[in-house]
Amino acid sequence: MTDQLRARFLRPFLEMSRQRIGRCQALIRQSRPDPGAAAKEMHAMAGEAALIGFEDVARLAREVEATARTWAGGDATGSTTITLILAALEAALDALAR
Amino acid sequence: MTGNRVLILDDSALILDVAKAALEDAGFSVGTAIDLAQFEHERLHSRPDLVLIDVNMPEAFGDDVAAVLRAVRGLKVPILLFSNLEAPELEARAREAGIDGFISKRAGIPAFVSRVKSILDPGAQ
Repeated sequence: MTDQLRARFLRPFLEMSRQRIGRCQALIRQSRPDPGAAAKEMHAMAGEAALIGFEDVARLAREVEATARTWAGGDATGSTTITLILAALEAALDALAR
Repeated sequence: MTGNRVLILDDSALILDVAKAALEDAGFSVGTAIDLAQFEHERLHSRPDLVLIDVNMPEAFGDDVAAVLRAVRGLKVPILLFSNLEAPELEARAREAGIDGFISKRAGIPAFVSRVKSILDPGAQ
């Protein structure tokens, strides 16, 4: 059942995840970055990935979420770290799409 | 088929679609709501046997909604948090809200369906 559901929801998952990554990138690149909102996007993405069973994607999304929350608390390196993890997330999604 | 009805409140349309499909495959009847207005409409019209509520939502925290449903609105059916938060935090939030527990999205679909079955259809376990 799980494999069937995973196959059935792969396409909408990829579409939604790419939208979430795009919004996350915009939130951290805008003139007044909003790491709190970026963390919420990644929290939602991690939940979707985990429930469907895409654990690698869920783990990376949780990394972005945790980094964004640290950044919101004052860590100046947050933007660069998030950019790198988002690139890894995009690569993980590309791998799922193949 | 169990025929039991589950109502899920989550602000992710994808989560709602996946959870609904998984539970319907297991024989449950499923209602979904993406916001509080839809949730209240569904709850009052469908009379669910189990309610699952996400925690981080734009309008309110799910544990606050659950606490009001139990303590103020007097909802008697099991209410569980359904979230991607870590289990210890979910357990604490559920206990604080005075509800019946939680299901972690991190556990995946099989554990999700199994947990719902254990609550609504314990004889089938």
